[in-house]
Amino acid sequence: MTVALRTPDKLMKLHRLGSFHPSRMSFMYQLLRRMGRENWRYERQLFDIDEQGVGRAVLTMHGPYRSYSLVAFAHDLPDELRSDRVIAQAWDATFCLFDGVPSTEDIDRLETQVPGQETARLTPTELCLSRANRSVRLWQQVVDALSAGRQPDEQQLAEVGYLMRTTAVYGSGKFGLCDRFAIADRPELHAPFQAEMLTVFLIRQFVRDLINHCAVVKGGEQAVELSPELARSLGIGNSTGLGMAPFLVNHPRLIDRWIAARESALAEIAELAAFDASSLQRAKAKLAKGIAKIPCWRSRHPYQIERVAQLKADMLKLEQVDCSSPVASLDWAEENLSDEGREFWATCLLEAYPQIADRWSEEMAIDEAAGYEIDGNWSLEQTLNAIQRHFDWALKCDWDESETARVWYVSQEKLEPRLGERADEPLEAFEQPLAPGRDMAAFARSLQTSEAQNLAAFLRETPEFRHTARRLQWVCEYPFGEIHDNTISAALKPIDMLRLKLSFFGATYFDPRSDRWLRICMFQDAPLADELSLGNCEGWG
Amino acid sequence: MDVSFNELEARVKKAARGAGLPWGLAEDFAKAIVAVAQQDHISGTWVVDFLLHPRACDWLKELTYELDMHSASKPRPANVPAQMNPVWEGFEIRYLQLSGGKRYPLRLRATIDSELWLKLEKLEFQTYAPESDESRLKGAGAGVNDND
Repeated sequence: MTVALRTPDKLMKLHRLGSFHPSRMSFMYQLLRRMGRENWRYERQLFDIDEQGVGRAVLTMHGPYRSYSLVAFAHDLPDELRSDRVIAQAWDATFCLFDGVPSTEDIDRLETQVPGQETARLTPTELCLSRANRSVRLWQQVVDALSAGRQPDEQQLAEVGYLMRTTAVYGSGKFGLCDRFAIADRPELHAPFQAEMLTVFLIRQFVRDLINHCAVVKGGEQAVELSPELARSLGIGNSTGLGMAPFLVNHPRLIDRWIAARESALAEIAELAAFDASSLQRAKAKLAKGIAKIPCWRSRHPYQIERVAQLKADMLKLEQVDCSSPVASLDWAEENLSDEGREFWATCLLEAYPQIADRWSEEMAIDEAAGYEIDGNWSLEQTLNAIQRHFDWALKCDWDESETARVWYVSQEKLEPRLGERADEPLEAFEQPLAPGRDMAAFARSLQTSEAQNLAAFLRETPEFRHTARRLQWVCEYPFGEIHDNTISAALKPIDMLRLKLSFFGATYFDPRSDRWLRICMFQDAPLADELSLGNCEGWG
Repeated sequence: MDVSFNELEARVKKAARGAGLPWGLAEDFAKAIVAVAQQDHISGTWVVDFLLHPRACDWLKELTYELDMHSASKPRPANVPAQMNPVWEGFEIRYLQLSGGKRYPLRLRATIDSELWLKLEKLEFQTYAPESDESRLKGAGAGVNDND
C-alpha cells in the first residue's frame, strides 16, 4: 500500500503550521542524539569570572573530528539597561561559538567584538554570535537559596523554566561570521542550525556554572551547588519576535525540505500494515509524557490559552485513538481532533518509528546557493497552469483592503523587520517582498494579457515579476515551501509563522506575549554537557 | 576589508533594490557580484557605479534574459563604461556555472574596498522605512517593558 503525503493545500495553512510540535526530527534533538551517539566530550577550558560576575569563560565540546568552543563574556549589567528587545545594546552575557579551541589571543580579540553584538566584526573561525539576559526574579531567588546552603524551590524553577534567555542567536555569515557553505559539508553541522543549537546548549552549561559561582561569592563556604536534577530541569529561554517570520517566506526551498522530510517519514510510517507492540508502546509513552507536561505549558495570551486547552482535550481523546494501524490512527486524528492534537499525534508516530524518522532527518538540509536560475523557455500557458496548480488559494482571494491591510518593512532606525498598517502609514515604498500570494495573483493577471513568446521574454518586458517567477518555479519542485495563506491580511497572526520555525528547532513552552513576539524554552530536561550518553540523549523529549 | 559572502550578497541585493531595481533583478545582480568576488578582490566602486547608471535596469534585463534562455552571453553594449566590465564577467561566470562549464575555486572570504561597502550601505538604507513613535511600538509588537 502506498499512502500519499498530506497535501500542501491542507497542511500549509498558517493555523495548521502554527500547531506544529517539536519532534525527534527537530534540530536540537538531532544535535543531542549525535553528541550522545558519538560520545562527545565536554571540557571547561576557562572560567575566569570575578566577584561582580564579570569575566570570561571557554566551554568546549570535543567531537570525533573537531572541537567547538563557547566563548562567554559575563557582564555587570545595571537593571535599567536589561531589555530582551533585539534593539537592546547591553546584555548580562554575550557569546560566540568558536571553531576549535581559542587561544588567549583569540579570546582577547573576541572580547573587543562579541560584547558589541550587532556592531561586532567577526571572522571565519567564529560560527555563531549570541547574548542572554537573566530572568531577574528567578536568578536572585536561586542565588539566595544556593548561597544559604539550600536548593531553590522546585515549583518556582518550573514556573519560569530557565535562568537566562537568549535574545538572538546569529549564524550564517552575519557580522562577518563563517559562511554556511564553508561548514555545511561537516557531518555534525550538515543538518540545519546545528551550530546555533550547540551554542544554546553550551550557554545552558555556562549559566549553570555562573549561578553556582554567584552563590559561592555571596554565601562563601555555606553555599551549595545547584543539584544536577534541578539543573537538568532548566532550559534556556528565548525571546523572539517578528525577525523570524520573514525567514519562512524567504527560504521556501529550505522550509520544503523540513516539512517534506517530516511528511515523507509520516507517509512511510502510514504504509505499515499495523503497529508492532514496541512501536505502539513508544507512541503511547510520548503521549503520556505530553499529558504529564501539559500543565507546565503556561501562557497569558488568549490565543495560546485556547490552543493549549484544545491540545489538552485532544491528548485525553488520543488515549482512545484507533490503533489498528498507523494510517488508521492518522485518519482518526484528522476526524476527531483539532490541529493541535493532529500534529501532536504526528510527533508521537515519529517517536514510534525512530529509524524511519531519523533516516528522513538527514534530508532536511539544502544548498540554497544552487538552483537559482529561471527556466525562460516556459510558455506563458505553462506558467499560468503552474500558478493555478500551486496558488489556487491566492487566485481565489480578491486582495481587497482587508486582505492587503499589512505591510512588511524594515525600520530605518533598528534595521529589523516590522509589520505595519498599509492604510495608516506611508510604508508601501519600503514594502518587503513577503506577500507571495498577492504577487502571484498579480503575475497571473499580467501573464493573461501578455503576448510575449515565452517566460524569458515576458520577464524582459516586466522584470517586476522576476522574483515571483523564480518563486513559482521553485514551488513546482518544492511544494511544501509555500505557505497557503495570506501573509499581509488584517487577520494574520505572525506567531503562527514563528511557531512553525521554532517547532523545527525543538523549542517548547511556546508562550506568545502579543500576536508578534513570544518566549520559548530550549533544552529543558535535556542532559547536561558533562553527562551525555547514548541513553540520556536518545531518551530526551 | 573582508566580509562573508552572505553579507556581500545580502547587501548588494538590498543596495540594488535601494537603487530602484525590481527585487528579481536585484537578486540576480547580487549573485553575479558574488561570482566576481569568488574570483578576486573587488576593487573600486564599479558595483555602485553600475547600479546608479540610468541604463542599469535595461542592461540587467538583457543579461538576465540570456541567463533565463541558458544561452551564451552576448557581447556587451558599446556604451558601457569600461570599469563596469566585471558585471558582464559576473554574469558570464553564472552562464558557465549553469551550463556545468568551468568550475571556479571558491575563496573563503570576499574582499572589497571599504569605500564600496559604505556606498552600498547608503543605497541599502534607501530600502528602510523611517519610523514614527507609533510604528516604533506597534510594528515590533512588544510592549515597553519586556523584562521580568
